[in-house]
Amino acid sequence: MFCVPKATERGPVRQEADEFRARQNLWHSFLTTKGVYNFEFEKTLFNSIFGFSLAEMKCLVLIWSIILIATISMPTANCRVMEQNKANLIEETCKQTPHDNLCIQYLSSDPRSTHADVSGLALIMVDVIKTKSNNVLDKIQKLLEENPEPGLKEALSSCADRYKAILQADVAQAVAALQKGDPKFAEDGANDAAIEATSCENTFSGQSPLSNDNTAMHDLAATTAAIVRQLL
Amino acid sequence: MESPRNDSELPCSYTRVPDGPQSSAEPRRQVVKEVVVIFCGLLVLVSLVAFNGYRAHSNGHGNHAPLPTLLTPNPSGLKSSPDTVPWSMVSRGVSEGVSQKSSWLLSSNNGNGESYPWNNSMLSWQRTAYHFQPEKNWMNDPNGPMYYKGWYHFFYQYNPKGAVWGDIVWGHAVSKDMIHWLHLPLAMVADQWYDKNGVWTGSATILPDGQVVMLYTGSTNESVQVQNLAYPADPSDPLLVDWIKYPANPVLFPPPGIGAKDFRDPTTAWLTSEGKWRITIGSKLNKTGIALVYDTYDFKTFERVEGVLHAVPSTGMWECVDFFPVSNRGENGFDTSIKGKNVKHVVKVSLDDDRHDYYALGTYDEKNVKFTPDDFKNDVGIGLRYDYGIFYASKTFYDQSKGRRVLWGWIGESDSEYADVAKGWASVQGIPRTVALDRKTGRNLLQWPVAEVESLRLRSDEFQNLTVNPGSVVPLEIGTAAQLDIEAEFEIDKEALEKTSQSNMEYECSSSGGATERGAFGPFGLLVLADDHLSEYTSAYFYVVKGSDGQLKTSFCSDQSRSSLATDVSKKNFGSFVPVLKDEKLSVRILVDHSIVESFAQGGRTCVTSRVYPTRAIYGAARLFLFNNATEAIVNASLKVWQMNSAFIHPFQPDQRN
Repeated sequence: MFCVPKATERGPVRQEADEFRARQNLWHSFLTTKGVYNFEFEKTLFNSIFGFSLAEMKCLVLIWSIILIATISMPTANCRVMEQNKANLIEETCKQTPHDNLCIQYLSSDPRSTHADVSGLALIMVDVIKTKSNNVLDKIQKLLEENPEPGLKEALSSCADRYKAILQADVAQAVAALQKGDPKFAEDGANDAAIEATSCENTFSGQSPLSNDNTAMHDLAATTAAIVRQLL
Repeated sequence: MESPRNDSELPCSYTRVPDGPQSSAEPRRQVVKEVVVIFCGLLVLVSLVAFNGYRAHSNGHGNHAPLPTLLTPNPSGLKSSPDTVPWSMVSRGVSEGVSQKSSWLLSSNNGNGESYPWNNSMLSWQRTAYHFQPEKNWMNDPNGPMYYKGWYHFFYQYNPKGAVWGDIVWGHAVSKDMIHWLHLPLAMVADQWYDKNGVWTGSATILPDGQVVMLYTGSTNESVQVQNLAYPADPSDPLLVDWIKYPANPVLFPPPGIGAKDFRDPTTAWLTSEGKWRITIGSKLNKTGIALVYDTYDFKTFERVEGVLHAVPSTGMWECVDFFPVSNRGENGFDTSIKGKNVKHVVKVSLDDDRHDYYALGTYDEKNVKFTPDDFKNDVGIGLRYDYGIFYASKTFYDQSKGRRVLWGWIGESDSEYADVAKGWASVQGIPRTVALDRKTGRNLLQWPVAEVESLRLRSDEFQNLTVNPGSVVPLEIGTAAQLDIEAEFEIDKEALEKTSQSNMEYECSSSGGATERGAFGPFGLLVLADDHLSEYTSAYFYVVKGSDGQLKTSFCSDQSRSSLATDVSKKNFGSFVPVLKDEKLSVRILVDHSIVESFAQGGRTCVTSRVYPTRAIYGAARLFLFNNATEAIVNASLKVWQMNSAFIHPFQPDQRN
């Protein structure tokens, strides 16, 4: 094809045009002998206006478009390298946690993770703890509205207290610790969230309606603590 | 320039030009060719864009896949049988990134794993009667302790907004005797850009002319750790209520090569031979803990001393570094600046990595600004600890009024934060301890509660030469048992010691079965905060092992594994080996004060502080027992038990100036 991108070469237009004209002539002769294409009309028209033929014009436009795209791609390529590095940071960080797949899923699905350092990743996880705690509290509320029998009702209320504590104490302490620069208190907060989830689970004498949530919180908390440990 | 026939470089499909007659098809072919040209060009563009997009997509950017399906808990792990572990999580320990706190669940070995509901009665019992704590909310590190114009001053890390760590400021209290404290207004709050994110730990230096200088760490509005200077607004006010921050703060920024968040907790200063004041500040380089050194004349401008005072690899960040002299000769403490032949030095650090306080004895070379430990195998951070239980961020000061060195330590909670929030407070301080070199061993320090605590002793009960047979529990009739000062001595009968064979066993409190794991010569000791049925008890015990060389090796442990029926509290067993010299009886002093138990074995050679949260062994139901769970040893016990009064710690009233 006549337009193979040699986009990085940025010679003066005329120099390129000359080259293309030479190539064009070669190609013209090739095609004309093959009876495929007749540039004569375009040649005349565009030669009279720009000194280029239509084909050359199209070619030039295409070349410049490709140059433009490539130029835009360069920083995008750098972005790709950066994204690769950030993805590597997430991988490296999550490797050192007890539930690395979970860790990668949680972090990757938060757009803030692309620009986060390890402390930022930890804050994202604390935010997940916060969101999940609120979800569990909503779920408990709905279960309480179903008018359960007294034993279950008491257990649910107790669980609500535990999850409120996760929000008011653990999440608050962890966020403060990470933001202010004394991460060990964030590790304590994360570990306590696991304890609160376990305590909630233990309050049910029969089948717990919150088993999945409590397990998830437990694992999430352990993962968060493991990330914070990397800051110590 | 390349041949147009070099197809391999084409990023788009190339329609081969057909041979053969082209007469009537020519105009249509023209159009087709143009279309192909444009199409190819577009393909070039599209492929480039798609290529970018593909790379991005494969890196997870913009991946909005749903969260994975949640795991279900180990079905056999919950509720039912008494011996199963409540959760499927296996503790991997600190080394694999799982902190100690999450491993509580495994060491819970009480009943049915049901969560214990905390009520106000249980929670309010936990408050201590004679240990320092603010009226409410969160406390951590001790700050700037000193004796000034007739008053002991104590400052502390405090969160005025809740029972968790957060917006930290300096609390303040004063006392005439380090026991009866009076709360004063907050000394310093986070009102400057350079301490906006926290008025953190610091130390006081009293200059020879009596001036007080306070250096403390501020976490700036950008969370950079800097050192700041503060001094009393009115030095003639013995209560030092108001403080001024030096207008040109900060006086120290993290130096090059040191992380902005690895630079905190300046020490009390000591005088060098050149008449400069010298301080040290803990930090780390990668995982090597280090102590940076700075010199100053005026506490306003500092010069960094090249190198470090000391460094130990793999110990991580050094917090709350302390550096002080101890006497080789007498029991007196020394002023921090002292020099001389009968002086050894101590470097102490708090390890961020494991929340423990370590110290090492050694020599200080002033000229080269170097500390050399006596025993590299037991260097700072890897050897001896002040306390084998809950004890962190400790700090000493020289009490010039009584010529002693006194140690403060932060005792955090080991219950759930739910309970801390419910009860409205968290943390206490240990009873201040005197610190001195153990001249009998020469290798460790001795710590002992300050003598003033004995002023709280009320009536006592004495028990002499009680014989406690193997496998027995002896109730001690002493009345109420939540506020006690116990001094006990034990002796194993010589016959049992001689006839029983040796064992190669290495006993470790933390990995042992606690008071219920029987050995030939242990465990035996006391059960504090126990109820009548022994459904709850905290055991403080000795465990003696006869080694392969015939030598006896003794451990002292404070075991919380049965301290409470609740499942959301720590159930660890803390302790360590304790040196027992020839002809010494085994002795222990125990201070019981509701939810804190402090034990001092062999005159303070090995100390263990525990926090316990019983649900039944509280108020009038708390009891004290002697026990001997050894299989061979008959134990002879003598002890004295005092009831302890409350210290009635309360806010300062204006008429209390004298």
